[in-house]
Amino acid sequence: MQSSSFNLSQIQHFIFSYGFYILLFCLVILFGFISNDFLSISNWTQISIAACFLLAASAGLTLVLITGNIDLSIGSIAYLAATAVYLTADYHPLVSIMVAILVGISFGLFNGFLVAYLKMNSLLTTLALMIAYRGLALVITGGSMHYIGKPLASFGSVKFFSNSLPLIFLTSLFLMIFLQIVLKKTRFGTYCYAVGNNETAATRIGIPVRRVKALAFVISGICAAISGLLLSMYLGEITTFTGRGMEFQAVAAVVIGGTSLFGGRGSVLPGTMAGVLLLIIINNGLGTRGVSPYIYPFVAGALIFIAIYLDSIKNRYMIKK
Amino acid sequence: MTINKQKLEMLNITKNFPGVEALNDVSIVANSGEIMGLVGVNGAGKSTLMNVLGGIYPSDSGKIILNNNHIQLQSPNDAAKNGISFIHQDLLYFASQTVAENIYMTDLPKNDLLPFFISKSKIIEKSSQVLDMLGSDINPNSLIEELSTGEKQIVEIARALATGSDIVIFDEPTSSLSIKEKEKLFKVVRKLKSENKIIVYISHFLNEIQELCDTYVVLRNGRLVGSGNVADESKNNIIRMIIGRDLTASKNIFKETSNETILEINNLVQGNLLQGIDLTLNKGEVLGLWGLMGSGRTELIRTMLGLDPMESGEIYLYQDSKTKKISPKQLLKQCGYVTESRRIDGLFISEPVWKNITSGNLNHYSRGRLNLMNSNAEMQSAQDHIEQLKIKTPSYSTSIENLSGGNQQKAIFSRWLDKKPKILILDEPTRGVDVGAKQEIGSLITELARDGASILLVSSEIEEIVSLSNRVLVLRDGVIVHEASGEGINEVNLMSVALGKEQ
Repeated sequence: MQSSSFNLSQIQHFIFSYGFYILLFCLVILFGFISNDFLSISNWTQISIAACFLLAASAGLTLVLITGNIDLSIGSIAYLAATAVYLTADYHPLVSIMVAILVGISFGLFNGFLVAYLKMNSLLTTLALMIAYRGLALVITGGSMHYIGKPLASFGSVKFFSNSLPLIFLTSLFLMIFLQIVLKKTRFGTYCYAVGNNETAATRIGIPVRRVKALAFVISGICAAISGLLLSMYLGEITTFTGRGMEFQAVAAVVIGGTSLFGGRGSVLPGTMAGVLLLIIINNGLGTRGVSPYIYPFVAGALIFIAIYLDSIKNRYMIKK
Repeated sequence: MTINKQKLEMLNITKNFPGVEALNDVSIVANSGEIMGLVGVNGAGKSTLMNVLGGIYPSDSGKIILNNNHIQLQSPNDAAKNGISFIHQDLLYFASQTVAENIYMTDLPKNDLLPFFISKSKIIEKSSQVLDMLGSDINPNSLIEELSTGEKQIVEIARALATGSDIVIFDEPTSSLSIKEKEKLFKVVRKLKSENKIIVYISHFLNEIQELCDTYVVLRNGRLVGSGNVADESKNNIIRMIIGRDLTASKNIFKETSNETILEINNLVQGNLLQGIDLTLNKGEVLGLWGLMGSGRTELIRTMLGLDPMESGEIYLYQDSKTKKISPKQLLKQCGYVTESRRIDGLFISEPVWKNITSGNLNHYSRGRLNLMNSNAEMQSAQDHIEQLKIKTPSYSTSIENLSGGNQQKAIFSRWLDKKPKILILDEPTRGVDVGAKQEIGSLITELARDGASILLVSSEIEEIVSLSNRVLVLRDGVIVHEASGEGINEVNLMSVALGKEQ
C-alpha cells in the first residue's frame, strides 16, 4: 500500500509544505505584470511599512500556536502599549519604550497564568480579555485620539538606504529572526514544539509544561506591545483603531504560513513571514491595480479558509501515518 | 557502565481498587542481566503490579527494595528518579520533532560557546551512540512521524537508556508490531539485557516469553501462582498455571443450527492487526469470537463494519436467496451493533431512555416529506421494550445516565430489538453489568438466535463464550488459529489455543 501511494503522498507532502510559497511567488509575478508600480522600490517600502506591525504581532503569536494555544488579545495589548506610550510622552523616548514592553510582559503573563496554571481555554479566555483590555485602554484614553509627542514619532519615519528601508520594518525583521532562533536553537523552543505535539507525553517525561505555555504568552504579549509601539511611532498618534482586528489578521497570517492550529508544527521564518506578506501583498497589489478595496476582505477570507482547510487535511494525514 | 549486580525486590504488594482486589500479597525478585516475563490473562494483575512499580498507583501495602534500599514510588517522577522506565502500549513521542530530540528531550545538551543554546550536533552524536548501542539503524535526524510503530518504540527505549534507567518495563510491547519489527524489538531487549539492565516483560503470549525471557512470574486473580526459570518449565505447565484449576464450570449446550450462510467474509486484511481473516456466519447461530487482548477481536469487528479502514477483503451478504457483495459501511447499516464501551460510543448519555431505545430505527417513526418524528409512537414502543426486557427505570423519560450499567445495556439491546436486524454484532455485551443482568442478557442472546437472528459474539469472558456460542473462532495475532464446535468448546481448550499452544 505504501509503495503504490508513494508518489501521490510525496506530491501531497510537497504541496502541504511549499504550496503557499509558490502561491506567494506567483502573485508577485502576476502583480508585477499587471501593474507598473508594483515592483518599484517605493512600493516595496510601502509594503514593508504596511507589513511590519502585523509581522511583529504574528511572530509572537506563532509561539503560542505552536504550544497548542491561541492568543486573541494581541490587538488589545498593542492598543494598551500605545496608550502607555502616550501616557509617558513627556519622558525620554527610552522610558516610553520600556514601559510599553513592560505592559506587554504584564498582560502576557496574566494571559499565560490563566491558560497555563488555571487551565482555562485559551480561545475563550483571550477572546474575553481582548474585549476587557481594549475597554481598559478606552477608559484611559477617554476614547479619543492623542498625539504621542515629537521625539518618539520621529523614529517612526527613519529610513535607511536612500530612504527605502524603514527602521520599523527592520525592528520587526530582527524580532522575527530572534524568535526563529529561539524556536530552533534553544531548549525553550524545543519544549514549545514538544508541548504542542503531545502535552501528556511532555508532562510525563518531566517538561515544565505550564511554564513553557506561560512564557509563550509572555513573548506574544511583548511582540504585541512592540507592534503597538511601532504603530504609534509611525502614525505619531494613537486612535481607537490602534490594533483593532489585528488579532484575526495575525491568526490568519500565522496559519497561512503553515503553523498548525493543533500545535506542534510551524515556524516564524519563513512561515509566518510568508503568511503576513501574502495578506499584505494581495492588499497592496489589488490597490495599485485600482481594484475596489472592498474585494480585499473577500480574497483574504478565501485564503484563510483554504489555509485552515489544508491544515486540517494535513493534520488528518499526519495522524493516519 | 555499572558492572555490579542490581537487584529489585517487590515484597508483599497488595493493592485494592473499590470492590476489586487487584493484587494480594505478591512478591517478586528481579536481577540485572535477566529478562523477567510477567504472564497472566487479562485482569490477573500484571499491569497493576507494574503500575505500582512505575509509580502510577501507589500500593496499599508492601515494600519495594532496590539494591537493598527501600524506595518510595508515589508518582511516575519518583520512578524516573529511581531509574525505572515504563514503555507503555501507548507510546509517548513528539511527532513533528526529530528522533534525536525525542531521545534527549529532558536532557538537551548545551552548546559550549553560546549560552542558552542547545547543541544539535551533540544531540545527534549522543543519540546515534544510544541507537548504536541498541543495534538500531534509525537515523537520528529523521522525524518521528516518518517512523513505523516499531521504530517509535525503539526510540522510546533509547530515551529510557539515555536517561540512565536501570529498570525497563515493557507492557505488551508487541501488540501492534509486524513479525519483522518484533524480531528487531527482541534484539533490542536482549541488548538491554547484555547492558545489565533489569527487564520486566509483560505479555500473555507464551511463545514470546519462551523465546525471550529467562525467568517467569505467573499471576492469577491478583495472586502469585508460580515463578521460576523459563527453561525449567514446560509450556503446558505454565498454561495450566495461567488458567488455574477453577475452570470448566460453565458448559456449552450444543445445539444444531442451520447451515444456511448469511454472511461471508473473505481475506480481511488491516495492517499487522488482521492478517487475512475468513469467516462465515450462519443463520440462527451464535458465533463466538475469542482471543486475548490485542489478538484483533475488536479490530476485526470495527474493520468489517467500516469503522476502521479495510485494506483488502470481501464481504458477501446472502439475502432473499441472492448473494450480494457489499461494502463495510453497507454491512453496518444491515447490522445491529452493541459496542464495547457503551458510555463512549453506545449511549446518548444525557437523553431519556425512550430516545436511546428508538434511536436505531428512526425511519420507522418518522412521517411525511419532512420526516417529522412521531414521538408518541416512539415512547409507546420504548415502554413496550422496557416491560419486555424488565428494564429498571422510573419511567421511559428518565435520563439514561441514571440507570445502572445492566439496565443501560438492556436499553441498548432493545434499540436493536426494535430494528430487528438479521445480523447482530455484540462486542463485550456484558461488560460492567451485574450478575443478574448478565444472566438475563445471556438468555436474551440465546432467544434471539432461536428466533433466527445470526449473532457474532465477542467477549473477553471465557465463560460467556463457552456457554452461549454454537461455534467459536479463536483469534491470535490477527489470524484465526482455531475453530471449535461441540465438545471442543470448553475453557481449557479455548484458553490454551489463545495462549499459543500448538494444535
